[in-house]
Formats: sequence, structure tokens, C-alpha cells
Amino acid sequence: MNRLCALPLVWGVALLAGPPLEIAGRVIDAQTGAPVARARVSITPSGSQSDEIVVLTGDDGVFDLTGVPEGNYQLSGERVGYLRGFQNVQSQPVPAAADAKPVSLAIRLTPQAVIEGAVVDESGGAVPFANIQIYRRVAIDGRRHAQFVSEAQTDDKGSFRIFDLAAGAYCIGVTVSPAGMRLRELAYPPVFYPNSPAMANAQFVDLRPGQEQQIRIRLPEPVPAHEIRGQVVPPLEGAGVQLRPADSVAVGGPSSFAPQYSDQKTHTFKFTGVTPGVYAIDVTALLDGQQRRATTIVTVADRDIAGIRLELPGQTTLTGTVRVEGQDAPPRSAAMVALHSSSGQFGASVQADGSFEFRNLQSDNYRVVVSPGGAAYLRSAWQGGRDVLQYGLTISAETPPSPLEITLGSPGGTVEGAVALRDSVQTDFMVVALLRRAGNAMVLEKQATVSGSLSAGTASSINDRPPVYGGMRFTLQGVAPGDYLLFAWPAEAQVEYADPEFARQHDDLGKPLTVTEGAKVTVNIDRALFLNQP
Amino acid sequence: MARIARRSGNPTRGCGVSLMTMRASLAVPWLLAASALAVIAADREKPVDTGFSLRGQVVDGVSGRPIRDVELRLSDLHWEQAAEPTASDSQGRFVFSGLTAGEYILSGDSPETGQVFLDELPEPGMAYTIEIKPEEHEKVVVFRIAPRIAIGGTVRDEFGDPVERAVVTFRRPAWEDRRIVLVEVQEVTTDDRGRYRAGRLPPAGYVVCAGAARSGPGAPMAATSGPVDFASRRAPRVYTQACDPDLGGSQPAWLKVPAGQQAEVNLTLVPVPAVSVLGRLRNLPLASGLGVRLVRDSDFSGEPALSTSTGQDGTFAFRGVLPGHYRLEADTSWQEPDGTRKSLMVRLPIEVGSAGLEWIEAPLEPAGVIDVVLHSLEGERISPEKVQLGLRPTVAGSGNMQWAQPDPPAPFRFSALAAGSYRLVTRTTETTCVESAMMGEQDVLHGPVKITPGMTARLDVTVSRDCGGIKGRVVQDGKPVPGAKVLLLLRGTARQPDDFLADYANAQGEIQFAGLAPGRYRMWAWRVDSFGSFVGPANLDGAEEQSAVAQVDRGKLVAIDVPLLRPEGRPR
Repeated sequence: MNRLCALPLVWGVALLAGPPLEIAGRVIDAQTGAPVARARVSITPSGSQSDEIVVLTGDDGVFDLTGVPEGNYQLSGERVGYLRGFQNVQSQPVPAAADAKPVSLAIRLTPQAVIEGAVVDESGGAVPFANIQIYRRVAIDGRRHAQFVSEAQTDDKGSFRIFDLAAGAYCIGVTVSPAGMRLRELAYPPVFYPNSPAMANAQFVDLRPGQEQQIRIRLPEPVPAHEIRGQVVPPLEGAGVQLRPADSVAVGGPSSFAPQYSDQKTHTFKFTGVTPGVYAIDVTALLDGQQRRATTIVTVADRDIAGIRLELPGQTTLTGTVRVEGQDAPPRSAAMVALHSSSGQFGASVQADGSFEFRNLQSDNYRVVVSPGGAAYLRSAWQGGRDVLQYGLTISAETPPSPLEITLGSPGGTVEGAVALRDSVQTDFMVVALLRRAGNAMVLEKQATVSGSLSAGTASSINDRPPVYGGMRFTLQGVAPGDYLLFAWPAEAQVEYADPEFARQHDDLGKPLTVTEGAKVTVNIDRALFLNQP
Repeated sequence: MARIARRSGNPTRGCGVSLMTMRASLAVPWLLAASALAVIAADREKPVDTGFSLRGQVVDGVSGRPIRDVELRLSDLHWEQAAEPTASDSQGRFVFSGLTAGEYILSGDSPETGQVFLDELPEPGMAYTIEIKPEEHEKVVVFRIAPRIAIGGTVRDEFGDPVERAVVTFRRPAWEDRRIVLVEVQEVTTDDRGRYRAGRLPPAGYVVCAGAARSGPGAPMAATSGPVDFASRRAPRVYTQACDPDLGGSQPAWLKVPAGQQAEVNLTLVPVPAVSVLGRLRNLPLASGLGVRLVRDSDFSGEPALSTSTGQDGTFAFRGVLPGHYRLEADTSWQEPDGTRKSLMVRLPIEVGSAGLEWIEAPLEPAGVIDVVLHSLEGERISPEKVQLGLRPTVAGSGNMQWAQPDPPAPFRFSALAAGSYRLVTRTTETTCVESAMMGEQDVLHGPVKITPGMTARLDVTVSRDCGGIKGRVVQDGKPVPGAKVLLLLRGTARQPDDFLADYANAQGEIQFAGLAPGRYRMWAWRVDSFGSFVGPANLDGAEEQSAVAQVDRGKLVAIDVPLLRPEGRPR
């Protein structure tokens, strides 16, 4: 039975006390500064998604929202042809006797880049429903990687269009597996634009904001394809098996380049339509409550491969301690130790007595990453008489590993200052990076992100990510004594500082400084790298 | 006789599943392919006589030219792989060997067509079966694949600007559950120019609809030109779906695209005022949130419901709701310390108006439970596999059919029944028929099943193996009509059909229904136009005089001609 009650409206959102305000601003093109008409601006009180309101800019790019209660708001702007732009607004209290005050701000929208094209076969005929993978060149820990961005399919005419891309360098891969051809034991090998069989040799397409790039990808001749058959040992329910090229330098993205068929009853698997090459077969499974992963390398030449056994490896435990040099005591501030490998990242908290433990580690090579906390800095990390900071950490599940001994120094130095560029360059977020020379390359010591949108003296952190400091001011604590170069670049720039070429090209553009224990260095940055570049 | 394979959530007379999943994205054929190509377990029993084969040729349905490189799959009626897949050769020829006599489902897959089933039927989600009789060791078929069509266009907003990532759905009309519904067969999204294109659609009649991308549980919100007052968020405007042909016409109409052709359909999204639906669930068993759904009574089959969660006090809020008929739904169940299972649910029909906001008080009520006991008229033991029982809400579109589930030691149980009125639906094998169904003294085979909150009851169902059948022939002007859709009314009236069977006539216009209890049965037949000019009568009440009536006796197969129904509706 329907009951309609004329009760007063209850919104579930308490209107904040205080005088009303006005949020007014302008949406502009980040490249030209021109106003963006009919842009949608979503305004949401922080922590209250249900109270969203969407307003439209006028021909002058201006939007105006009146009667806004005091509080924090998240704004996002969008318009077809642009990447979405964001802003955070903090309203200010107004004296009771005053009229509502406007709050002006600008939301910058960067024009999107587009890759459009077609896939044709060896005869020049359109290839419908081919799979397109897009990878972007990125820098992770200062090193170049190709990171999966998105995937698409060609339509029935063999055409595709990939939009909403940020400026950058992109690699395009194509995989095709026609059903009938597969059954006739032929397949098209994967191809990377323009016609490379491997990503390592692919051509990256540089895109600027607003650029539309036309490309045409021609598939090579189909080649005899084969099967790979095997079994997971021991048989495990829910084990996942995937096939990927062994020389893939991509981070993330689709792993499988061939259809996979598996039988959960017999724990066997079969890949069909596999063209000649070197592949990695990954198996992941849950065993004893822990996610396990194993990889087997397979070379496909001119025949099917059977009898592959994917065996899940054993696991081991790594213990360790953290000490502060000269104190023979654990650190007072909370420290974190992490191990990074190709399988993932693993973290451990340091206990009050300085001990830590990593459980269920698989055989692999790891990089040790230490977050000392507070004003301490990392001096050394040794395991079994080996400097793991220089040579990495190798774990073998067959042999119990020696403890990892980490030594911190304290107090570290502090580097603080502001980014005040000579030219009035409009960029909302900048990275301040403290690098030191290591041979002919650079190593990152510390970094911080600064923003001109936030007020000086404030910091905003989202989802446990490092905070963004307002007012373009930065503070780097716990810096190990030594000589450094201080750089600044836009947050979206992909900087390969670990590449010796970076040091060669930009060495003289960094601010040199020397840090000693417990000392504070103040430095302002008036030049930035990679402004207005993809 | 070739039959139709169909998936309705439960098998129909022992048939397997159908193609209802084909209304989903392009990924579905791969899912079907992956499951169909699962390695056959080595421990499956080998058939006795595997000397049968299916041979054929794949050809273009318009030109007759052979089509090569089509991947062909053969499945049994349970959609299990019946043979290793093969591909058509340069002459379009293919062969499956080592088969047993029986019924199969044949499908083809190619980049140009996607997955296509043999002799595509006009209604989406249906496929003919192939019968290999014991006396024919080689069956020959011609697999005609009509060239696919493409529909493309641009989606714009009320300002004429392109709408990016708009969801464009392609729906085909079908006669389903006593009414004409629009079944989604494909979905694409627009690019940054508002452009979309769907290729590989079968030639048919379509309704193309576009809607803005959703970012929350409510309808997509439209922007308001400024200056705007913050309080105006209380009365948002939202984008509703725009369809072509427009669904608001007095007569249904569909876009007809012949084989191999393309069509341009441009759509404009216009915002309309939306309201919020606020309320509270009462009788929450625990101080925790519960999922609540707002299901719209729509002509769109499978339209997703709006969902939200209540607070710990049971309050909920749906924003951006379009006016219309809805049903508020919520369910919760838990196990008591003594092991008994408890369920609470609400199914509340509500009318959302176009003005104002409403407060709904929706009490969660105990679910009803019915235990089923099977009896045999002949005093034999009845295998539960011979019978399937369902409860269909009396009012079409007011809820979903519920099927009784096995519940040892009882054969079946209806659990979690919402209060309301239902009709019993029965499905049996060809050698079994339902004689009676009693709830206490009440005959629920020919009358309604009324469920009250917290009710527990017993349903005694008596079946027999001494059944009759109907062998019908669809005719028009005395001539057989192959491929006509046939409806057999099992119980109810033309005005209120409670339970019915639907099937397609074969190439000779013949249809057969077995496992019928003695009695009088009405039948209708109509020719479904593949372009949707006619998919079925809007209601049977107006076509009662055009039905054929058959008297079924035990152990006998009655032959009857069923006249073809005069079509309604008009083509575009």
C-alpha cells in the first residue's frame, strides 16, 4: 500500500551555520586562456556527494553560484574536447553585517589529444573489431616505462578513435584473432605502430594538447599459430592463468595476447592462436590465504607446446631491524620499510623495538624502500653482508634469508623554500625534487608537490598520497647530508632523471646546495624544467 | 521436429538455455565461446553410436555467395560443446563428424557478423535447433547469414553540443510475458564528437535510445545556466532517454534496416524536471544499512533499477528520479541461532509524480514460504526433474517470476515470497502433466495464489504420466505458415492469461505440444515480422475470437489447424 506523507522535507545534510557566500569563477582554456563557454561545473560540498549541483558557464566562461553555505567545496569542470579540470575551494567566513562576498577562481581545462586511425590487413582490407591498446611513456622512479592507458576496438569499418588523452608520448599496439583463422591455425602476430613486432622497437607518437593524430596500422602477413597446453601444479580452484609477451616493457594493461581456455575440473589450460615468440605464462592463485604468483617462460617456434607445468613457489619470511646510528636505539618516529618487485609492493611497519617482518615473500629480486619518518634519514641497509641499496635484495624461498639491517641517521637536514618562477607561467601543481649525483646519473632523495591554488601554510592530502603544499612553498625534511641539485617541474611532466642524458642536459639548471646534519637550507626556485612540454 | 532453444531463467520442457545474454555487450559472444570450448572432461561417457555427421555450407543470406573463415560451433541443448569447433573453408563448407543422433544448436562467428545462430529467428534470444534423426546419418544444412547492418549517428544535448560517452542502446521488440517489450541487443558509447556506430547488427526493426552517462544512482543531472542559487539543487533537471522512433507515439513503430544497409539516427538529449524519492524502511532487523532498489515499470526489458542504501535508521534518498510507475524493493535475510532462516522484504508499488517530494514509509515484512509436495496420479514416485513450478505476479510487469528451488528433503520450496497475488506456472517434461495444485482446500491451478506476510503454506501438486498433446498446423488461407509464433494458453483467459507456452512452427508450419493434462486449450498463431512491423498482439483479449480451441484427452494427440492472427501495428 502506498503511503504518501506530507512531512517536511528532510535532506540529511545539515546546512552549515554562517553567512551565505557566492562561488563565482571562470572556466578557461589552459593553453590559450580563452573562456570556455557551456562548460559543466560540478560543485559538491566536501564529504557530501548527494548535494552536488551542476552549473553551466556562459559565453564568457563565467559561472556563478549564490547562497552557498560556508565550507569546503570540490569543483570539477568538463567540456567536450577537454580533459576534466579540478579545483578545491575553501570559503571564508564573512562578518554578519556584510553582504555575501564572491569567491573568484579559475578552472583550467587542457585540450584533449586524440589518436584516430584505421587497421588494415596485409591486403589493405579493413580489419573490424581489432583490439587496440594504448600505452603512454611515463617515468617511474626516474626510469622510462610504457604504462597502459586504455584499449579500444575498431568498428565494423576497421576505424577507431581514442580520445580524452593527456599530452604525452604514446605507443599503439594491435592484436587480432579472427575466429575462423584461429581454427585454421593462422594468426596475425601482435604489431606495434607503425609495424614493429615488439614494443621495445615501437615508435612513440608525441601528442600535444589539442592535437589529433591520424595513424594507419597495417597488419603483417598471418603466420602459422600454435597451441600452448599445460597444467597448474598443484591443482588449485580458481587459479588464473594468463599469457603475455616475455619482452613486454609495459606496466599494467591487458596481459593476454591469445584466447585462453581452461578447464577447472582438470586444472588444464590451453592457449590457441599463439604466434612464434617468447612468452611468459603467469599463474596466480590463493593458497593458504595468500596470493601466490609464478611465471614460466615459453618459446613458441614452429609447433604446439604441451606439458607445461605451472608450479606455485614456496614462500619465506624476512625479518629485520631499524636502528638510529650512534643511539643503538629504534627510531622515535614511525618508520616504514617496503620491498618493491615486479610482482608488487610489500610494506611492513617498524615496531617500537625497531623490528619488522615481511611474511609470505616469494623468490624474487626486491628494491628496499625506507621511509624513516620525522627528521631521520636513511644511511645504510645491509643483508647478509651485502649492501642492498646498491645491489638490491634477492630472496630465495628455499633458503631462510638473513635479517635486513637498516641504519638511520638523525637528525637529517631540512630544505625549504618557494617556487617563484620568473615568467608568469600558469601551472597549478609543481614538483620540487632534490636529486643527487650517482655516477653519471641522478638519484631522487626527496620530493614535494606544491600548488598555487592552496593557501600558503596549508597542505592537502588525498588517499594517503604525499601532501600538496599551498602557496608554492615546500619543506623537505630528513635529508641525508650531502651535495644536491634542486629542480622544479610541472607535476604532469614525465622526468627520466635516472637517465644519464638528464644529468647531461639539465645539470646546470638545478640549484646546487649542500645539506649537513640538523641544518636548514632555504632556497627559492625561479626556473622550472619542461614547462609547456608533453 | 526442430524446436526453439530459449533461456527464461528455467528450462522449457527439457530444452536448454537460449540467447537472452546476447542482448549484452560484444564481450558476451566470447564468454559463450569460452564456456563452449571448455575441454571436454575425459570422464564423460561416450555415446553408443557416433556415426552421425552434420554437413553444411555457410552462405550470404542475400547473394548466396559462400562465406569462408566462419568459426562454427555445435552445442547440445544444455549449451555444452558437442563437437570440436571448425571453420568454413574457401567454399563455405564445413562438417561435424562423430555425432550422435539428437538435437543441436549451430552457431557461426566471424569478425564481420559476430555470433549468429542458424536460421535467425525474428525475436532476439531465440534459435532453432537441428534435429539429427536416428535414420539420417548425415544431416545437411545451409547456414544463411544475412549481411549485418550498421546504425550510427550523433547524440547532442539541448544546446546542440555533442554528448561524450552517451550510452546508446539498440532494442528490438519482442512479445514477452503477455506484452510487447523492447529487448536490448547491443550497447555502444559515443566518442568526443558525440558520434556512435554499431555494426554487426542483424537486419531487423530497432528502437535506438541514447542516455547520458550515469555518475551516480540517479538519472544523469543536467546543468543549469547561471547565476544559480545553491538551493536549486533540490529540484534538479535530469536527462532522460531519447529514442528514435519516439516511444510516445500512439502506435508502436520501429526503424527497419534491410540487410547490408546502414542507417543514420541522430538523437537529442533534453533535460526534464526530476524529483527525489525519500523515505524510510521500517522494521530493520539490525541497526545497519540495507540496499534499496527503485524498479521502474518500463517497456524496456531489463532496464536497470536505481539503487541506494539506507542509513542505520532506515532512511533512504533517491535523487534525480523521473516521474513514473515504480516498485520499491528491499530484501534481507539472516540465520537465527537455532538455524532457521528468516527473511524480510518489501515490494511497494509507488507513483512518482512530477511535482513535489514524497516521504515513503515502507515496512519490511516477513516473507512468505511455500513448501511443495509432489503426488503421482498413478501412485508412482515422481522425480522432481520432471516438474518445474513458478509463481508469476498477477499483474504483468509488477515483479519477477519466482521459481521453486530444490529444498531437500522436500522436492521444492518457494522462499522469500513478497505479499501479493500470483498465478501458478507449471512446466513439465513431455511425458508428464500437472493434474491439480491445491493449497489446503484452494485450487491454485485455476485460481490465484495469495501470499500474506510471514505466511507458510503447503502446495500439493499432483502429476500424471497419462497425458495428451496437440499437434497444430498454422494456416493462412488453408496454406501452412512456416516459422509462425504459436501461443498455447495453459490456464487463464484471453483477458488474463495466467500460464502459457510459446514456440515457433517449423518449416512445414507444424507445432507440437506434449505433456498436457486433459482439457480445453486455446491457441493463437501470428507471423513475427523480422523488422518488427508486428511482433505480437498488444493483448490477447481483442484476439480471442481468432484463437483455435483444442480438446485434449488422455493418451491422445489431437490435430488442429491454427489460423494466422491478423497483424496489428504498422511498420515504419
